[in-house]
Amino acid sequence: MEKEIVTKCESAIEELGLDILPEEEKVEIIQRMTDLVCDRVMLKLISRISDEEIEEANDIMSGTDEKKQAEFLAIKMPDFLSVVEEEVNNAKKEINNNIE
Amino acid sequence: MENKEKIDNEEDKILEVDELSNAYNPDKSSEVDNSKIIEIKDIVDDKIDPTKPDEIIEIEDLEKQLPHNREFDEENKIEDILNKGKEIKENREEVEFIINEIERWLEDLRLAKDDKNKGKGLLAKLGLGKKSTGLSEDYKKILLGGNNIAKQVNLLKENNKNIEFTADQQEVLNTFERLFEDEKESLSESVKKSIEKSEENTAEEIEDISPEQKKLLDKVKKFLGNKRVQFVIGALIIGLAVAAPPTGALSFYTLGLLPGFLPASAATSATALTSAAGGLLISREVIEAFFKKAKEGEVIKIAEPETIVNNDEREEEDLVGEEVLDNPVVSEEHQEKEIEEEMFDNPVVSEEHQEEEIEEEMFDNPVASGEYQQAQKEVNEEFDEEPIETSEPKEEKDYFKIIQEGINEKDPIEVGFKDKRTGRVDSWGWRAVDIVKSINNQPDKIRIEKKVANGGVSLKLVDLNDLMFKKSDQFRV
Repeated sequence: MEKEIVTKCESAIEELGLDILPEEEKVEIIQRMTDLVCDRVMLKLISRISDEEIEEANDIMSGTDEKKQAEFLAIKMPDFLSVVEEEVNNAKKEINNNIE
Repeated sequence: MENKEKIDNEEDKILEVDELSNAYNPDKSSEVDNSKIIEIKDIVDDKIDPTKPDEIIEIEDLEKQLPHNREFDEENKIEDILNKGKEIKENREEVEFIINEIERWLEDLRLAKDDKNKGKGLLAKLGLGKKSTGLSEDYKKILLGGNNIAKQVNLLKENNKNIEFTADQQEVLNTFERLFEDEKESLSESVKKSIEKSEENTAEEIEDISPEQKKLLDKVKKFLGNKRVQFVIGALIIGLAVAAPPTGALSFYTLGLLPGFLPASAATSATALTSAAGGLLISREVIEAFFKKAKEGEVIKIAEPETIVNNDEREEEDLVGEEVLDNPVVSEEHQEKEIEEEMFDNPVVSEEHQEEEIEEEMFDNPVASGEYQQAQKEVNEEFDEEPIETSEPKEEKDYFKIIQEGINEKDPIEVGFKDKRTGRVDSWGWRAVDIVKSINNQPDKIRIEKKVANGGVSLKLVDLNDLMFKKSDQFRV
């Protein structure tokens, strides 16, 4: 089955000029960037959950019904890929700007 | 073969042998010992029987005995040696050229340190002495070029090729290698420092959230880790395209594309990854697989639904059927088209859209309109107080008609959603027209309950089998 390309960002390796680094250095940097973006995506998600909903959200996420959990998150972040893309680009820009 | 044909011709064999001799070494034909040629000619005459092909093969052996052929072999050997020598010389010239280039750059650098004004421009050109996103193209080129030369030199040495450098040249090479290592170290360090700064900022943001939110964050983190979010993020960071199957049915049920996202090359690592505590540590193999794929210019694909659906989901798909799988309600492709056509912005994220809606018709936007929320509250209070009047099949049909007549592709209407427990009205970002399509595909699974309030008709969808909607969803037309 044909697959559609959903999204694509410019490579951080090229943008940050990391291509001269050895592979293991690149891996470490990408790992840290991945964790950073992950945290930021989650913070954004949390910011979309109101104080009234937080208890229910915790209940849902404590449960074992993965489908329900996914559905809840999908409702709160239907634009997941756009958010990820935005945060990836933000992180790259920020890291670029902070390089001394 | 040409020679064989000539020898096959019986008319003048002596001449042919002479021609053969000249053909091999026309310039030196005068130096050939004619007595030897005649001797060979006699052998050939005795041996040749053109009616027997096997005899011809023997002539090839005889050809090897010709003295000028031996010379030819020797000449070839000399030519090989000369070529190799030339190659070595060229390599050496190339090495020397690059060494000179490097020396020139190093000299410029030395001068730059002495001459502040000159240095300013030069250092900037080199990507040094300024806030830089890394190395300048010129400098990087020199570094990479020099590094390649250093590798070549090492390779030549490993293969016992004798390339000698003067003490100065060797010093330049050593300096260059040091410079390259320093540069790599410095780049790595500055990028890591920069990431650290961002990590600190993010950690502070996490510190600032409430304990309840923190608890939720940890749970979501674990959940997303298990759903391999990092594959998507990692792929995007290193510039790989993320692709999805056209059918987005599962996406709707299972948080976008996450559970289906599984780069084929990283399948083994993914298994290990999901069992990792917290699930957020992306394994080295996965990243390396990413790099490999990036180099090959591949696209990270999202697995087909069949490969990721668990039994419950499978049953659910069977129940919902093909029509709903292809229904645009759940198709991201369809949603993207809608965005492009500016028909409908996601009401959850688009404030601009909400403002426009408020201006046009205050009650159209269930999120932004407090009045609408109030109206909804009233409607729901009515629902709560009175037994909900379930519409008869005929009535349901009427309401389908109302919706279908009232809504068209160019005039989308947002769908409200009310959380019974909190009373909060939210939006799902669906268009009513899509819901109608779903309902039409599932007439026996969805029940519609109606209420009229504030000049609008509120419809309550009840998912009889709890398939499409987890809660009773309410919207108005």
